Amino acid sequence: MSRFTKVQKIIMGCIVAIVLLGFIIRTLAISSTSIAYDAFTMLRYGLIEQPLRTAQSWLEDFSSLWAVKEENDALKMQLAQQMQLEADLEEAIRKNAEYETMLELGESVPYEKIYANVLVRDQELWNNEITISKGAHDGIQKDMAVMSNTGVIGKISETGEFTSKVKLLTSQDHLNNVSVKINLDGDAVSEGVLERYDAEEGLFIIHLFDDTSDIQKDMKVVTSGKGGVYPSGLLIGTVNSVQSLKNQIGKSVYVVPSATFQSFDVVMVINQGGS
Amino acid sequence: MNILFVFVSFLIDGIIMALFPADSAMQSVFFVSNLGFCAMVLTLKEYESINAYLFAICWGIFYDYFYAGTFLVYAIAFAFIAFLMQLWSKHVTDTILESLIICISTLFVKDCVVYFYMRFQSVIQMDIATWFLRREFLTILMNILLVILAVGIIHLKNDYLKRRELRIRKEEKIEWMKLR
Repeated sequence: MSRFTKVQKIIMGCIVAIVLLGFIIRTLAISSTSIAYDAFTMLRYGLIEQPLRTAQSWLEDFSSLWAVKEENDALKMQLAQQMQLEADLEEAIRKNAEYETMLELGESVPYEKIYANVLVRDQELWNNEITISKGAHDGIQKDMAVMSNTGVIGKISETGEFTSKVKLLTSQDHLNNVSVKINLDGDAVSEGVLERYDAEEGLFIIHLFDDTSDIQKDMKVVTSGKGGVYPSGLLIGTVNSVQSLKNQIGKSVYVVPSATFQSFDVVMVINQGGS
Repeated sequence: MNILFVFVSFLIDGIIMALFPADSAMQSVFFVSNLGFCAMVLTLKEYESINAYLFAICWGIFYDYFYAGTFLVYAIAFAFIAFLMQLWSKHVTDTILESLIICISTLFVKDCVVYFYMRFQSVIQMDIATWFLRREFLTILMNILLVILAVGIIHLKNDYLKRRELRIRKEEKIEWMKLR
């Protein structure tokens, strides 16, 4: 009678077979990690480690989604603020440039200057008047000349304690005449009056008193100071074209305004009394 | 049932080691899950000598190929453990404390056998103090918890088998007249 049962014999046979197979593979030295080892390792990796790591990474991705959402919301807010900051920066740069040109212009004007900000510019009165941030308290008086950083824009029409209204040269009010002159060659000048502003052409129309002077394009037109309102020497614009008048002495000169009336935030009020 | 139990325990070992990978360079402290080994040790008590050795060698070969990547090292170590269990099983009972002591002591013996074999073969150069501090200490600590789990599962398994046997016995019809 055999000492071992049938099952024991089968198991022992399998063990011997596996051991022999292992010895054969090792002696043949197929590779440092034999094919059998690679197969078993891959099996364990495929059945256990790979699914576990996949599940782990899924869980990590899912949990990080919340963090990503919060980060996304914060970044969106920052981006929205970024655009606002960029707009603020552009505005600050523009104003800075305006202040610099205003300062440069101010140095060439030999009168006392009072700087003010534009507070109100009504859409309905866009070409007629503006309100500035200085008034009687700051020394502003009626009929003082007002300049932007590019040239004369008008005069003070009303003063309050802390604000004032400026009538613009582009106003259609025919009472807004300004005494002007054009410097010719040498000491000669040709004098005239700024009659009105042509809104369609965007040009001042000046009536020169004499028709003998040779007016050329791009000649500078400045205030003459003889009107008693605007001081002398303030730049109005440059000559665009000249037209002779029929049945009247003088010429009509069309002048391109030096001041840009569409956009300015800072103005300079000229006090003739101080210098 | 015992084979399934030990196989599932080894699977759980694989899952634990995938979640807590061992430091191959042994630069930090780590542990190696041995729930399958402990399950095998606790199951060996139920087998006679030859069956116990065959059982242990089979699982040793399985561990060699699927986990350790060695050849016959764990098969021999597990066979030695089976030999020890044959000596001790007559003197221990099924209490949790004794099962814990059996498992931890056989685990330590197995790891020592493997360590000294590896040192003898010059596969590793690590001194015994470093090996104990970085590998063995935490392994033993963590496996205490796993042994408690294994003992609990074995008790559940045995209870289930007993209930199943009772149910089968109840369903059997004994004809008294035909008893001899």
